[in-house]
Amino acid sequence: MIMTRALPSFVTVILLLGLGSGTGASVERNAGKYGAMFSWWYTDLPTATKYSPTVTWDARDQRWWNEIVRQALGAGLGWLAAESWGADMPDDPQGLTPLLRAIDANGGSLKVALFDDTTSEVIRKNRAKGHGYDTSPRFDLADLAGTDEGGIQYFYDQQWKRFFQTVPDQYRFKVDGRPVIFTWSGGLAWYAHLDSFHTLLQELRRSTYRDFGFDPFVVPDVSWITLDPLTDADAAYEWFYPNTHNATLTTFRNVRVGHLIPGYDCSRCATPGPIVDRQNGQVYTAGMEAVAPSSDIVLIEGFVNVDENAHLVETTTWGRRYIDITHWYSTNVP
Amino acid sequence: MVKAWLVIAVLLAASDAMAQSVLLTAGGYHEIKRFSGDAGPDATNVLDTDANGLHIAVGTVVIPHFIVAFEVGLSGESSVTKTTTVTNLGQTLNIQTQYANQLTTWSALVGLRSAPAGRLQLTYVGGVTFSHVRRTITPETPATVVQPAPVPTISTTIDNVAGPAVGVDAAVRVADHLAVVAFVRVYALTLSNDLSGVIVRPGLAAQVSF
Repeated sequence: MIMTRALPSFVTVILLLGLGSGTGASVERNAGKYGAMFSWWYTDLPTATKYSPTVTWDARDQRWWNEIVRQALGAGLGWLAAESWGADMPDDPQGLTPLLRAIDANGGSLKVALFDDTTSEVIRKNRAKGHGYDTSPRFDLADLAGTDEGGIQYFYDQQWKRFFQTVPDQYRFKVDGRPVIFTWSGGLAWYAHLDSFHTLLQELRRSTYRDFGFDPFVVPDVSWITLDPLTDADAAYEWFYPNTHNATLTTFRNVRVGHLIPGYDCSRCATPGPIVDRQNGQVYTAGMEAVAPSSDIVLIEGFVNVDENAHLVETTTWGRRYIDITHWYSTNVP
Repeated sequence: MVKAWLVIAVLLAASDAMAQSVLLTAGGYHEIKRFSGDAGPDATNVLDTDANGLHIAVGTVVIPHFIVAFEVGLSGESSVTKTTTVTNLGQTLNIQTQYANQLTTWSALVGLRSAPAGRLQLTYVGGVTFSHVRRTITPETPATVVQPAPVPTISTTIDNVAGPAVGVDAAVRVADHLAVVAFVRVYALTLSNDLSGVIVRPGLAAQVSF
């Protein structure tokens, strides 16, 4: 009889334990941990593309956006990293409205992070100062006022602010409740006063807080931190380098960020570059096995990178293979 | 779901006053996990594993031929090791990852007992199972792909999910208050929208009644 009295207590314990899932992640996200680079400058398939997507490749058509988001969700991605080039460039963050429409049309769950392609600030600054569409002269990181070869406005007004004005809160990918911003490499050859990156970042955070009321979760390429150890980043990642670093895993401030490619083929690029043979998905799978289990965030290059044949989308060559592989990891290595 | 729990809780609470017999059962089982969905890039479904486990149950006869029971299943860890072969810079690399999982269940069941046929008595049970699933992933050779080699990290995912359970007990009386019970339990387990499976546990136990 003692045991029968105890029975209701067991049930109470079960009811109190609750249901749900959790991972050993050191951060909290508002979407799955897998995300991929996303560009939207396309009006046609580039001549460098060797593996043609099955969808008509024209970002002027809303159907392209809808299909890309549908495939991203099919891959189990939680977010896309919008590779932004800033104001009045082909990948102007202000041009992301069709992405938001596509997200809504596909259930509204996919999130968006800003990926600040730091080549663009140099080019936009040079274009504005009459140097043409060029990465020379260098961008002076110490010149926040923009009186010489720098200016905070190229990063903030033309890029970060433009992104957050376009992408409302409910669409933003967040870590620990803060919208995520990735920045590309700290181009050693493109920037001057590299040890001033931390002051630039402080000003960017201050401006974002002033205008939007939050402090973004900033994840620069680790090169910025190497060049300026005072950089106050929240996490870091290391961009791939073909064949020698097809997958990377970076731990910074206890946040682990994985990065990888499914393959790469720049043999038809304007300046021909290296090739990483996909090996029928084995390069991608090996990269996932190496970095995904240990990562809090996985940044994949890239979902639509047909320019360098690093894309995941469905093609006439491999069908949905890379979508399926990504889906498997998002399901089994959450 | 909440209503079902409440009904079971009330029945269990009520059983104290109405009980005619208490059944204590302990034994072992073999657990077979089979999951649906994509088998993965190398056709490996890393959750399709087998394990052995410990079965403990307590039940009571509420009215003739009608029992309520509470069961606990404590399974051992099971794992598979996935190997991915890739060629990089002319070198063939084997990437190994261990995928392990462990399942613990708590079940609230109601059952119908058949009339004894000689020494044999069958009981058909059904109810709700609360499952605690622990999945761990251990990359065994990341250094072959990622340089510099990262600090080895074991990834852990915990899922606490509820699902239906059914089963049958075949009790063979060997003494006045002792029976040997061959049993099987089947649980439906849904870990996410894309990851669901069936758990089958055939087992053998000793049952004391008083």
